[in-house]
Amino acid sequence: MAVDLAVDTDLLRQAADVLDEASALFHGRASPEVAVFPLTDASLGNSAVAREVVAAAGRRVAQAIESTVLLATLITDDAGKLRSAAAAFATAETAVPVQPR
Amino acid sequence: MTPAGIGLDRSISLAAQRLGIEDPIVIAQELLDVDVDGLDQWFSEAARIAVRLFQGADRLAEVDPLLAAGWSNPAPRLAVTDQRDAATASRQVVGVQVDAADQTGSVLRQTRTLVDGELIDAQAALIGAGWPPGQDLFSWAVDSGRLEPIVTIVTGLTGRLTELRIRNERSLADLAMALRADPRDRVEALAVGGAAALGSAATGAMGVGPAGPRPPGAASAGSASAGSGHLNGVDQTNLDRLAIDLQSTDLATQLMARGVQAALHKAAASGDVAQLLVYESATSASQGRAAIGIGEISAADNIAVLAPGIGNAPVTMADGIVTAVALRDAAHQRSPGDKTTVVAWYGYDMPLGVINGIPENPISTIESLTSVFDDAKAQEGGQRLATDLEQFRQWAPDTARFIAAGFSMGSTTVSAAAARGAKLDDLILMASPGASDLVETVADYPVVPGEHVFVTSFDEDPITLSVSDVTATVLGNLIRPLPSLPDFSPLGPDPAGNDFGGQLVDVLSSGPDVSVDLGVGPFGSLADAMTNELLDLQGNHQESNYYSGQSLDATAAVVTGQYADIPIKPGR
Repeated sequence: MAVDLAVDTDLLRQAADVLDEASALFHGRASPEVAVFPLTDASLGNSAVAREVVAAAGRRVAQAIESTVLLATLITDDAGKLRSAAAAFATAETAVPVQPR
Repeated sequence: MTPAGIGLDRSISLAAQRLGIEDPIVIAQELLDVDVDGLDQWFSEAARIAVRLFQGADRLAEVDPLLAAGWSNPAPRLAVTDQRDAATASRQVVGVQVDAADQTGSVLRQTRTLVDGELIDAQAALIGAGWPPGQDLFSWAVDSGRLEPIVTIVTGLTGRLTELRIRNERSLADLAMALRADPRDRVEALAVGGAAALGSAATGAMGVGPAGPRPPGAASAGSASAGSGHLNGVDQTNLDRLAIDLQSTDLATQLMARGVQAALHKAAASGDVAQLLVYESATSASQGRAAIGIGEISAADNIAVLAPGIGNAPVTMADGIVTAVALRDAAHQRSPGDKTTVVAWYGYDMPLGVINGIPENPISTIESLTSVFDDAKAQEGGQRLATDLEQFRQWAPDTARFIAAGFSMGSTTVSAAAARGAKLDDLILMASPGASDLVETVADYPVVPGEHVFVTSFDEDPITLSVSDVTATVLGNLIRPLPSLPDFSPLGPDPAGNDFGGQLVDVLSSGPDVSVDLGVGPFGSLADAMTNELLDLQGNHQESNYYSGQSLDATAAVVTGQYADIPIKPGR
């Protein structure tokens, strides 16, 4: 099935730039490494629930950082693909003569 | 602690002790020692992450109009929208956790202030009652006929501090619930299912036609998984060894290899990645060693390593896969966002297993039988487990939690591993005949604190009762060369005992109550009697019984770190 494609390569490149900015925001300006976990097993008390909170707190914050890093990676990848697509479209436009309608 | 200093605290403590009530000073100290600043500091880090997620998602929204105007194909817009939604969902999870931590921090901080106030008020009340500071409070109260008001003050203090402790616990429970949500869930689902949508559009646009989103669940090069490539070298080497052993002309070697292959197939059929983490061939001197991980170890949040008890061997390890899958499923049910890998670890020579990978003969049976009566195999296995755990740690994410769980003699083995310094977050001893001679109490584990040593011993399970140790000693001494004096704890202390210091899990057996006769019969039937005792306890001393019902759920709670859900009772 033939499909008409409407493409503006400049806008695709702009979108790629914004994606890069978003990726940088997800990743953070500094290193994604988190500070040293300040709590120890009994820091919040000796009860089971206090120990559960300590263990979970350490993991969840690390996992939140994983989320940001993964998002940053995916979006950087998106930006690259958009630029590749824009470049390919530009090449196609110059190679194919415009047909009068 | 208080303006009156140590003297006041000590006086109140002594009075509480003589009144037989909980020491309010101990409660006060616990509440004052809570590290609220640490909690605040950590969650301020989480708050910064939430801001990053918000700002990133906000910036992604700016992409939409550019793509709408720049490309008629909707797939790229949908892909970016999915990513923005995932970021927003992740931020919401983190935001809820930060809010809950703020709330809990406020409660804990307020509690500290209130505790200080309660201690000052109690001091004032005691002085107001006529107590001259510096004198023994209780003796003075008795001598001066002022016991009643003093009792009222001290018991009232204990009561109010207990209420504050309960208030803290409730707030911590709220925070624990909030922390059971995984901020990665939506992002990882996106990576697995939808990340390539933009890529498809980009490649599809080049003359192939309109590109749509990839089918749900389709694999993606951008998978969130740390990838099996990290592990492939080790896993592949083990698989290669297995392939060679399957062609071996040595019966023991080939039988073990077949057993491991069957177990691998069974593990793979469980709907998860199956990895052969350890493989050492059976020989005439060994039943061989194998460990199969269910779930990608390099991406795991929780890694539970299960050691089986006597009567097992790698040749029959397909049976252990059933247990591992049951625990994996229970852990997933408890904590769907977490990735839990369960490793069936058949890494030590298990007494009464299939001897050396081949059917038993009378001599090997007697040799194996005697090894039931002491913890030598378990100690040796514990060393091997500690080494294997070190290797597993190198493959696993840095943040992964490690739990070792052992059933019966397997519990003696994992206990021995912990005694040898295995780095574990939690230790689970199930149906334990003893914690090995390497330990007397939990204090002998160099890494694992007593609060993280969980013991499940059904009262109906005779193997966990001390009479089993006595029987083992008597029978063991008769079968092998006699030592000068009998050792009444040949497998080490009962970890369910109160003196041991572990957490005795309060769960009921799912099996029927079985009556067991532990009487010692004629010499010629001793071996049979002992073997029957160990093999015929179908009712309660069964791995499947401990990995089912309440016991399985409690074990899954340990594996996922949901400590507040583990019912605990006093030791025996």
